[in-house]
Amino acid sequence: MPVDQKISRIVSQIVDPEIPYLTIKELGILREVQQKDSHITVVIAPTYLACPATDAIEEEIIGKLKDEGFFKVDVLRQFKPSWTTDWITKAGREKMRRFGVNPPEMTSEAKCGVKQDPICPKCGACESESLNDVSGTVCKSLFRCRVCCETFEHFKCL
Amino acid sequence: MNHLLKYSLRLGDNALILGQRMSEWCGHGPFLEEDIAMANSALDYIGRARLLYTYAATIDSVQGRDEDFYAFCRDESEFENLQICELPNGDYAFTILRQFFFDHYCVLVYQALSRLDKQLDQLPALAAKIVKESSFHLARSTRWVRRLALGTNESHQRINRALEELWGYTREFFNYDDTDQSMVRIGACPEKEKLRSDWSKMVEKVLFGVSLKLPEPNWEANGGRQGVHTEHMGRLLAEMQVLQRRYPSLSW
Repeated sequence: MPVDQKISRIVSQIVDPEIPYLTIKELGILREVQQKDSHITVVIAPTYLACPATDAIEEEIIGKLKDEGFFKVDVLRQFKPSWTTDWITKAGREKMRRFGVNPPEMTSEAKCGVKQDPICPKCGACESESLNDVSGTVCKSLFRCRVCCETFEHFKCL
Repeated sequence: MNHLLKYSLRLGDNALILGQRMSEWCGHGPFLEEDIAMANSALDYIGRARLLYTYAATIDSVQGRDEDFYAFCRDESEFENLQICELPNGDYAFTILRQFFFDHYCVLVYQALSRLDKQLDQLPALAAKIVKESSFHLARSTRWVRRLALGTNESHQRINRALEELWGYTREFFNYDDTDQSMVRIGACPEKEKLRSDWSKMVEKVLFGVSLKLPEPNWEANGGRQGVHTEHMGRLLAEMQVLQRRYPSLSW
């Protein structure tokens, strides 16, 4: 049965509480929405195993759908295939940059071994030094641009 | 208890107990960024414990058990984590070197488990994610080991001391029992000698590179897998479990 457009719209507009400018769709966390009569199943792929946002996102999905009158909602967590930063959409990456976070490189680029400094989202320079492997959240690390001297976050490639 | 259940609980116990220790650094790290990094890594460990326990609950013959039961309602002798996980944090050199040893161990152990493609339900998929996360942890702990070993006389001395204290505990990684052997047989766990040689090769490469010498192997920790723990374990559990023990089934 095709999914009610309203349901898809509500679910895909939910944001990650730790990266509130990105929706779960842009982050690639939202994998599937199914509907069988009044019963809705939403499949999400957790980013990091311990990511505290996963529980919050799950509650948000159930809460938002309930507000709109959908009461039978199951949220399933998909571990396989496991979430990768490659699933972050182009629009999502652009938004990240705008909010001062350098988006992750593609896993294929990371694997080919050419190590490039993360690009400074403020001035666009490609010379930066690592300040710490973990920033405010485990998915990001902290860098300082050598050109404009601003500190910025880099979303790790996973 | 069947071997698979025992094995998944052990993996969960290692993750929970070490995660609990790491979380003790929260608010006490050497500087702000490192404090946040350590607390975030602790969160990774506790998160993996939750999922491993949740998996264990699905194969436990006793109905109604869940992650909270395994974490908060079992006694010391029922925890089968390796003793290295429960040791008090010591100084930062001790903490970092323990992470370095354990991160290597995790990468190898979970790599084997992740290769079991079509068996054991979600467990191999979880393992694959854990390998990725552990590789991040490992890169971090390796950098710190180098930094401390090549830093000042003081930092070098401290990491050397940590090495002396921890080495005997790392021997427990390779003390397999029937459960581990049965997991080896289905390919879910690396063979003992293979684990020993892979682990040693990787660890020695880093340590020798920063002129740290391996201690004489004159003693080995043993017993964690059988629920025998050091004197530190009881206190750790007392603190971790106090609320559930005092107010059973309490929830937020």
